[in-house]
Amino acid sequence: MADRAEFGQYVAARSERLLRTAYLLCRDWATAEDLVQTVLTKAWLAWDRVGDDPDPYVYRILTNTHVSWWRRRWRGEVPTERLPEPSVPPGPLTSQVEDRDLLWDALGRLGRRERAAVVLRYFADLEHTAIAEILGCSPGTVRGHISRALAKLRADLAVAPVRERT
Amino acid sequence: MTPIEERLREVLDEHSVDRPVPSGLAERAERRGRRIRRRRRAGGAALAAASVTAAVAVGTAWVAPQPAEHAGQVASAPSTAPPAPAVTVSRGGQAPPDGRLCAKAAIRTENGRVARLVLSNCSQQEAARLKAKIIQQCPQAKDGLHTSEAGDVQVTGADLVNCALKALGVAKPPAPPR
Repeated sequence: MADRAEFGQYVAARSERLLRTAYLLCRDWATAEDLVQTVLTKAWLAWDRVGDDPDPYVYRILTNTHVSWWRRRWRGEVPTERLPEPSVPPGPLTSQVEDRDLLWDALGRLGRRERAAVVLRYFADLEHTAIAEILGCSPGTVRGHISRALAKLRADLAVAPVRERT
Repeated sequence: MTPIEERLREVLDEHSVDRPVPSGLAERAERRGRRIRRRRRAGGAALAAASVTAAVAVGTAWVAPQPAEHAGQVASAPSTAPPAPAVTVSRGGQAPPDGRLCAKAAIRTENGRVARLVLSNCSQQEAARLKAKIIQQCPQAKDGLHTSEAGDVQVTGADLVNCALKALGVAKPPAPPR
């Protein structure tokens, strides 16, 4: 897919998925939008070198750019959509929402590489080999990242209610 | 698939749905891409011009018959050094006449700053003259100035390069636009 006219088609078809993936990596919508815009600009500059399937190339730019931003940006204050304390007393009706949020918070406590591997595996539905290509490591390392991430989630005390209900 | 993996899949899916995609992503990417490309080209041209100026200023009066055109061709060629583009004005490997001149002047940039100036195959007298001039005017020269028996003079470090260019009577080359 070397034709630049196809760049627009690719963006139209894939931008929603890219934005959602970016959000899952950085957990902030404004940053995710900036990240996707930067990734697409880099992809546009390299479009002549992109092969028939741009996804691995674009996802690789996405994860690498995310990591480089993470290194550069100040993280003393993390924006959050929710207060730490639950505003509604827990009850049976709120359990689904609680599960979602508990697991989401636990995901945020994973390392960057582990979270990227989990997002690419369970959200982008990519195989281990494709994830390995994107993260620049071996498929075995990807399996290790995912396995460790799942172990951490299982061991996370905050996720215990989710485990009991499932 | 284990229960926690299934739940994880649902959580990732549910947590990322409530945001529409901004419009004009492709157009903005293309606009920014073109701007970046223009800046890169402008930076290369500025460095090529600066290199020609440097080459002439250090006494290579016989540099190429059409230095600007020649430098432009060299600047647009792909660089073999990965970290930064380098521009070179060369006399095709021809040794300089004894007693004057250098065969080649090259500057290298890193992060938009001139980080290295190399004057190659200078005659012994010319190398000594350039070295003395730089040492005389640049107090930081002891760390970043190197000369070789082959007549190369190498100046490393953005501050020292700027000082050396001034010492040799060459204006500081314009920084590439950011």
